[in-house]
Amino acid sequence: MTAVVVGASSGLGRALCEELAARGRDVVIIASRVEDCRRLADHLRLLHGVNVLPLAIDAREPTVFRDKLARDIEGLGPIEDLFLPMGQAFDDDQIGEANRRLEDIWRINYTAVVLAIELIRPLMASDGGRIVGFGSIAAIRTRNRNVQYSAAKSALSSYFEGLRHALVSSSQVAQFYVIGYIASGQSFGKTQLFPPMPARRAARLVLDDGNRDFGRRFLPGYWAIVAAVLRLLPWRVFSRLGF
Amino acid sequence: MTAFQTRRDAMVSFDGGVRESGEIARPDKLRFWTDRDWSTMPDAISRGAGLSYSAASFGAGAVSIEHHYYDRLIGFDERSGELTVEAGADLWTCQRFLLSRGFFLPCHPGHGRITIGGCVAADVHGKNPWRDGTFSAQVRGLTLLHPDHGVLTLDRDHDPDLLSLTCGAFGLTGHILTVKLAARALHSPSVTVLRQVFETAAEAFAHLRHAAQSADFAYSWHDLSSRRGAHFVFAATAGSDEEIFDGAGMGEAPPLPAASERRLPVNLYNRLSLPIVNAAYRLKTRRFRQPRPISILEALFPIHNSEIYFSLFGRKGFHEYQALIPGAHAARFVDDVRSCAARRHVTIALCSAKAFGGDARFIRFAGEGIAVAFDFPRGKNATDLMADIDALLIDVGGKPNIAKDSRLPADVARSCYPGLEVFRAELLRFDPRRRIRSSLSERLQL
Repeated sequence: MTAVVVGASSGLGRALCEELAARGRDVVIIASRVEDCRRLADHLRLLHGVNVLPLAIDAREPTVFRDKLARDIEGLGPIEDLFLPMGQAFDDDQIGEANRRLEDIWRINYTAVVLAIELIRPLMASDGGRIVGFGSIAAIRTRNRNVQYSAAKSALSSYFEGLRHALVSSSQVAQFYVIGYIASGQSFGKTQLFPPMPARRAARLVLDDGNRDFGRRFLPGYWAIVAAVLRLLPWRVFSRLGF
Repeated sequence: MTAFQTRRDAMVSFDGGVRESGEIARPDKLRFWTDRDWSTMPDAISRGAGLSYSAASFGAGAVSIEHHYYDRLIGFDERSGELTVEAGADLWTCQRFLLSRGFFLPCHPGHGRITIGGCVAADVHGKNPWRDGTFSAQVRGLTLLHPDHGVLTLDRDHDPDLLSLTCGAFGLTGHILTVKLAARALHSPSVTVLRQVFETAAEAFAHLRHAAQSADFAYSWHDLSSRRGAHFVFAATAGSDEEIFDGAGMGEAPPLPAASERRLPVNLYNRLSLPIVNAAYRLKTRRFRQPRPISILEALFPIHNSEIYFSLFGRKGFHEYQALIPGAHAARFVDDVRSCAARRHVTIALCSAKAFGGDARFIRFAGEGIAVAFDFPRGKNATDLMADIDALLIDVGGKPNIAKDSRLPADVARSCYPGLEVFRAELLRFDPRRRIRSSLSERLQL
């Protein structure tokens, strides 16, 4: 059965593709840059002998994204699992700077994810499968850093709750992982409170969860405790945190 | 595009001799190489697994660009066995893939975590350099990014001179992005190993030269813990069976910690412990007194699961002196080094040798002779011993392995490598602004 990974070229997305292929699964890999897509597709075909369809689609243009995705996935199927580890944060995403990044941040982190689900879900096998979204610990409590990113991930978390509700009577499940520190090119060099989890290990944990209907989960798991503590912090304390 | 996203961190040569703090970048997209004006970027040097003994991937104020995420297999020709990979691909992944297709790379070092880019940069050798030459012999082409020249495709038809200069240039001609390798057909998934014992180094070297002509792998091990220590020659030949490689034992390559990680606080090799360690090794290899088959993986990656050997040198690390000696002087050289070590009260933890060959141009560790390697714990006396060996080496007309020594002085390298000045001139002609620098290039005044 085929799995679709949107946001596949690096980080957790790439690790998911590698782990899926290592488990013998055919993969549709969707990412914004054609060269990254093709390079990963070649690697997976060679190393694991699976079928890989690389699709280069830029999530920043919703209309183009929707039309191209609809065209490219025509004839595919049946698709069993849909993974959406897409997203991007920007260093200048602060209060007062919204004009510069607002559209891009929401398109990449929310709109494109929802569009991909709406387009791909009808192609999914009716007898099971899962739709997997990925949020961020930045949305636990929003600071004056990654402000729009946190808001978009919050909205996505809310969307996935709605999706889970919509799927109650179906055999499909919606799962949502709140991602903490995962090692990737994007996170490298950033100040982090704890050591990041290798992306491949995170991918294994996601795949090992299978089709269980757990709703929302932190990855790495210890972030559940950190999140609980952060939420309990009185404003006076939280407002002074400099991380 | 802006400059690189980096993290400041300490980098240490694998032998523990050089420690520098520097900026490290770890990009993961292909556009990192293509979508920026490199001529305005800070000076940078490529870094593979960070396992270089000679501080080749950091220093001199350059940003170290890790190829951690550029580790993919790109293409494979089933008929010719040509494999194209990104420079950050490791030996284990490449061999695992090739063995499953009935091919293998005969020439590479003994640990799977080492990257292909690193193997090209240091022009490393394998288990029978007399027959197989060095790593450059199996390089068919590569792509290279130089900040002032852009991305260059090099092979036998496109700038073969620059290809030749790049193999063994320690990354100083630019950033190696992809490499095309010529693999050899695999006739059997196992090799048969035979261990023979000799009373003197001279006898062992004579047999080693003989064994290298017919065996697939040939190397010697010398017990220098006492004057009467034995000398062993191991020769391995591919089996004649035509079994299909079944992938058994093909998990992950074990980690090979850099000098900064997982090393014991103190050195545990000394005059008391070494006879015990050597006795254990003799016992471990006793099974090869008669010809005995082992998996080709075990033969290709003998350091796997023996990583503790490096850890036992402690946090200070160790010296490795690998020297290529004209055959007639090799046995005498070993005796002289042993005498010097005794005089300096230095314990030689390991001495091993290979019969050597290969293309000796520029600063490549290649050419005819016997390559002898000595490992010993780092310390004041050990530093003096290294200088003693420098003098002995110059005396016999040998050359040190630049890739194995983070201390090697420029004047010793100049005395031993006739091609060094040619290399420097060619490098300067290609890169007049000398945009690629490292601790190694500064030390050797390249």
